[in-house]
Amino acid sequence: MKTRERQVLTIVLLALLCGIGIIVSVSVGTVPFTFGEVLKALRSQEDSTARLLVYHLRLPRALCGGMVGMCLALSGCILQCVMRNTLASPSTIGVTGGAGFAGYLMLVALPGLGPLLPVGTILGAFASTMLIYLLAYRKGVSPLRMILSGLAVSALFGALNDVIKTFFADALGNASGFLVGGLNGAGWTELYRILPFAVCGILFCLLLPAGMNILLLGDETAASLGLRTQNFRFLLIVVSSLLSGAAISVAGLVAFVGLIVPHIARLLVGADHRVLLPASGLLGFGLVVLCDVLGRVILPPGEIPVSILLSVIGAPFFLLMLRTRDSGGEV
Amino acid sequence: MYFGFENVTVSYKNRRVLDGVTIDIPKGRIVTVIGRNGCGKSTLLRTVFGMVRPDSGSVVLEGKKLHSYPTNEVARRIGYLAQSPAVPQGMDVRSLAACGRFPFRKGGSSREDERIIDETLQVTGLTGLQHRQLASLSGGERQRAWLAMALCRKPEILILDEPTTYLDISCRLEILELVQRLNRETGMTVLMVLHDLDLAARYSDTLIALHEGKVFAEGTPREVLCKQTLREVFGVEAQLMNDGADGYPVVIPVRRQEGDR
Repeated sequence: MKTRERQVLTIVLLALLCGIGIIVSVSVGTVPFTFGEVLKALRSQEDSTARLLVYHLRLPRALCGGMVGMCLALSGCILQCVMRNTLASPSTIGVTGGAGFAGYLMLVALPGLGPLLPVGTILGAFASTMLIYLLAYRKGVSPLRMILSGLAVSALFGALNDVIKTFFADALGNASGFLVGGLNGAGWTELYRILPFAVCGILFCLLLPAGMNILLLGDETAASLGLRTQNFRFLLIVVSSLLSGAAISVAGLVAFVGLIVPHIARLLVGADHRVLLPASGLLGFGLVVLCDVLGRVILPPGEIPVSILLSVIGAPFFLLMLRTRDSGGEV
Repeated sequence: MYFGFENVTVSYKNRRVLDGVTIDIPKGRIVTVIGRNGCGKSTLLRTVFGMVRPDSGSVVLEGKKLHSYPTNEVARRIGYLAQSPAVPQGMDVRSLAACGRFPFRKGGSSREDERIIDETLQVTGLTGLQHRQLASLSGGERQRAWLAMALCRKPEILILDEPTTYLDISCRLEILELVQRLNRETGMTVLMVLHDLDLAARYSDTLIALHEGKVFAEGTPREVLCKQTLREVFGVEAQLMNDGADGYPVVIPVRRQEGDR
C-alpha cells in the first residue's frame, strides 16, 4: 500500500501549503509583519494599522482567493470527468464567459440584488455548461467539438459582455472584483456571500468520487455497474456550476486554475477521484493564494491581478499539454 | 426462463436492428452469439443494462422482467465486459478491479471488498501486476484486468462483448479458458459474443447465429456450424472438419459467396 501512503502524504503537504499561503499572505505586503505581529493583530480588538491590514484586508482576501481557487479547481476536475476529456475546464469551454454574462446582466438589470450575484453567476455557469454539453455530446464528448463549441460560446458571451460594458458602464460603475478579474477589494462581505454556495459545492464533492471513477470507465461499463449515467452527469454539471459560479462572482474571469490544477494534481496523486478531488481543491486554494501574494509584491506599489499571473503561468502550460498529449481525446 | 431475451425488437431510426429475438440462456451454461458485423449482437447485449431500450419485448431474469429489478441488484448479479473499453489514464489494475465493487458500496471500501478484490486478482492471475498502470500492460493483461473488474461483483451471470478482439491466439485461449473454468467451478452463466467461430465452438455449450436481427440457428456447436449457416449467415462457402481437437467442429473458409454484399 505504498501508493496510498504517498497519496496521503501529498494531501497533507498540500494542506500545509494552503496554511503557509494564508500566513504568507497576511504577513507580506507594502507593510510587512512578523508572525508575532500577525498573531497579535488577529487577537486584539483595537483599531491598529496591523489590525486593519491583517484582519480586515489581507485575511479575508486570502480566504476569498483560496475559496475561489478551490472552487475553480474542483469545478475543472468535475468538468474533465463529465466531458471525459482533460482539456475541459470552466475557462476553456466557455463556462466562465456564460457565468460572467449572467453576472453582468444581473448587475445591470437588478442592481439592488448585489448580494445575490452568486445565484446569477451559478445559473449562468449551469446554462452554459449544459449548452456546451448538449452541443458536444454524441455518445461521448468529442474533444474537437467540445473545444470548438466552447470557443464559439466563449466568443458569443465575450461579445455580449463587451456590449454590456460599453452601454451600461454607469450601472456597472461600482461593481467589485467581478469586473476586474482579481481579488482586489475582496473582503469579508464577498467571502460570506459565496461561502454558502462554495461550502455546499465542496460538500457535494465528498459524495461524487466513486461515481466519477466509474464514469471514466465508459458509459456502458458504468451503466453495467448500476450507475445512472445521464442523471449522474447532470448532477456533476450542477455541482460544477455551483462551484465555478460562486468563484466567478467574486473573482471574475480567472482562467486556467480549473485547467492546470487538476492536471498537476493528477501527476501528483494519480487519477483516482477519491484522492484527486481533495488534492485538486487544496492545490487550487494554495496556488491562487500564493499567486495573489506574488501579484501584490512583484511590482510595488502597483498590483498585478491574480488572473493575469495565473494566465501567464497557465497559458504556456496549456500549450505544452496540447503538445505532449499522447493521442486522441480520451481522458 | 432463467435468463434471456423474450421477443426483443429494437429499431434505430426506422431501421430494425433486432426483430423479435428470443433467446433462452439456461443456468450454468455458456451461450455464444455469432453473426456478421452489424447483425445486432452488440445491440442485444446493450438491452440488458438499459443502454438500448427495446421497442417491444424484454430481458428476463428468473421469469421476471429485468427492468423490474432494482438497478443495483442487476449490477450485482450480472457482470459485463464491454467491447474494447477505453483505458482511463493513471489507473492501476487494482483500482480498476475495485471499481467492480461499486454496486456494493456503502461509503468506503470494507474489508470484505478488499478480500474479494484480492481473490479476484488471484483468480485472474493479476496479483503480481496489481499496482501496474493499465496503460503499461499488454493487451492480454489489460483484458484480464477488465475481466477482473467484471468479476469483482461475483456475478452469477457474466456477459462478454467480443472479449478476444485484438488479442493474440494465446491470450484468446487464456481469456476463454478462464471464463470456462469459472463457469465449471462456480456455475456462473455466461453469455458472450465472439467472432472467432472455432473458439466459439470450442468453449460454448450453445451457439446462436444471429442474422439480420433474427435468430437464424440455435443449438450445439455441431448443429449450428454447418455449411448452410455459414453460407446464409456469413455469405461464406466453407469446409467443415468435425473432428477437430476434442471433436469440436473446425471451420475452413473457402471463399466469399458470389454476389454477397
